[in-house]
Amino acid sequence: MRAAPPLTAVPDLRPPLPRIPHAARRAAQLALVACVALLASGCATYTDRLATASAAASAGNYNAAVSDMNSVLGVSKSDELPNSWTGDKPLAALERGSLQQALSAYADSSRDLSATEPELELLDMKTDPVGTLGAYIYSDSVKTYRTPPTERLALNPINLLNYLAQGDLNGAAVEARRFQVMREYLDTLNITATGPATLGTYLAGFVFERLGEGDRALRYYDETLAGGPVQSLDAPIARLARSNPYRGTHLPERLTQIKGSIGKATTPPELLVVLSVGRVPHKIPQRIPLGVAVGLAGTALSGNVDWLKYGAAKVVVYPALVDTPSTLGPATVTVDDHQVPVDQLTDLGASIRQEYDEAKPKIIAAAITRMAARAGMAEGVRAGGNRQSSVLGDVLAILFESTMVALDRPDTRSWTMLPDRVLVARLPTAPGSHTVDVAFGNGVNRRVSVDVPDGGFAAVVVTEPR
Amino acid sequence: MTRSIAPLLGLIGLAGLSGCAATAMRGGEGTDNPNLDRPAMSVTLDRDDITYLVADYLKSLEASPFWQDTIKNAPQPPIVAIWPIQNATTQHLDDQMLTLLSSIETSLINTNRVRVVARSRQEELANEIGVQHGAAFDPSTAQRFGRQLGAQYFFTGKITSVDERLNNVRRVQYTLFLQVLDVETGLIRFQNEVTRSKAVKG
Repeated sequence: MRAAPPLTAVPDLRPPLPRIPHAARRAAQLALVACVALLASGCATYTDRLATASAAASAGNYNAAVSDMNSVLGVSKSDELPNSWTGDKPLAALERGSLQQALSAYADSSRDLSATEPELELLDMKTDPVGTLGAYIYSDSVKTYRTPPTERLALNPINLLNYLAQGDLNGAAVEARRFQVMREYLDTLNITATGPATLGTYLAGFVFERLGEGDRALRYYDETLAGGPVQSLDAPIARLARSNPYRGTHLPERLTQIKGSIGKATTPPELLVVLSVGRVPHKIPQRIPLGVAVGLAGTALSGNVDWLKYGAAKVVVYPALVDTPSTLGPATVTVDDHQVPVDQLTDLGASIRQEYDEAKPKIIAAAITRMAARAGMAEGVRAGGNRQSSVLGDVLAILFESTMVALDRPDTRSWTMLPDRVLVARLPTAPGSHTVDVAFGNGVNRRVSVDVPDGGFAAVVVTEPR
Repeated sequence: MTRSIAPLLGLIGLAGLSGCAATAMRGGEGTDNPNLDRPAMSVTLDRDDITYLVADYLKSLEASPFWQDTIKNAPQPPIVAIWPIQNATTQHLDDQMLTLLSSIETSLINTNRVRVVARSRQEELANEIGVQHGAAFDPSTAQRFGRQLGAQYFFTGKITSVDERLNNVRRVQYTLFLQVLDVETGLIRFQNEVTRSKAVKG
């Protein structure tokens, strides 16, 4: 309990506190900034935070992985979305969306991906000055996550699969159109993300073919063929070419190569099987000697790095891209006990690697610039401390820089549950019930029963992010 | 030093507190916040847009020769059915479509000039004749469907969008096409289009 205040003023007889010089105060404030940065950002990288979910997914325990993602999202149930979309939450929702798809919870997956998309778009549109300033002295992972082109363009085709799996052609068409809007926007920036573009055009072609828009379907199929022949498209393009005039760039050559009977010009009842296999490469923190880093950054290193000469640290930490091991073997698809051919439609992993390789000099340059900024600030701390004593200055500077190096966690964020490869099988079939068996080797099998409506389609979507 | 740290710690605390605070409010007609519904929140259709689209459509319909001559002069109010409006936009509008259809349905019923087939009956029949969810409007199916429902006219349509993004602006231009089809002949008796644009800027 507090003592009652005295009724009269009593003189303070305690000795005065020593006056702390301004420079030393400044040094201590900088140290405080480091502590605040630590509190604000935490120590773990995104790879660390996802380690449990990643291990669960690798073991095929997608329910456990979803639970882990719920923790990252700050929600208690798998059907809840976060109240705020700051930090890594948009990315975590993408990860959970992929895992929900792996659980065949297509409506849940669609909810996650559809809710995330506008948030990502807004993040992309607005500037992030606070995140940018924080990242300069600390780590790129301070910023709210913004998807690179391959991830962004893959979002709609991956979500489209959720609608197809539910037989919702209208919903799938919305995703196909959204994919096209994003592709056109990336075109204005001279960006072509080939991997997701191939996936998106194939699926968009399928959707518009089923909706009776033959010419539009042919346009998409023509763009799919830009990546090379796709056997499962031969029958559809030959069929559509009978009654639709569009030919484009790649269709004429392919049409001359297609042999065998095509059947009727009308779209038959059909079964589409889409397999999303493995996981794309992910990022890990990697330390490399400063000299090597400067060489790798090359001309991308445009910032002022003069402070590096004062720095004690001689290694640079940057996010390196590494393959995600997969336990799956080659996939086989059997429909009613008859094996059907499977096309590898796209290699999203290769697309991610290409994108990373192109950005690598800039990524390393950013890490070096951060290092230089830290060295510069350490010099400020040293100067402040030197006014008291040169030993104190050196100790404070080394302490400060060591702390900042230890705290520096490179931005290892990426959509890690994105499939590495997407395979398709497509076949006309009689209306009615069918059993589809998918085998990936190593005892990983899926059996799906579907009903193909007369004149309609059924889509079997199997996602195995392991 | 204590003095210089205190404001910083205060700011951090304040930021933490303000980040957690969410407020709920009531709005619309008859409340203290009548303009709550007015601002656009995204590029999708909101109730304000739907009210505008439906009002414009009904105004044109009521002024049309079809309504003035055929419907008003019918010996008894004709039976009409509303076929789901096709969503050909870049937005998932399932909930908005339900509102749009219900709004059109309510307005038609309240004219007392037509009798409207319940949508639940239509859905049952659509399932019976195997119309796959999301299928485009097909005149021959509609004719068969209309006859089985006992409807003389079909109200149907499509909503389309032109969706573009440049730098930090995304704009969606919506067009709602609505038409009335004669079930017996398949002829379009009335058609109208209404437009609305939405944009979001970063």
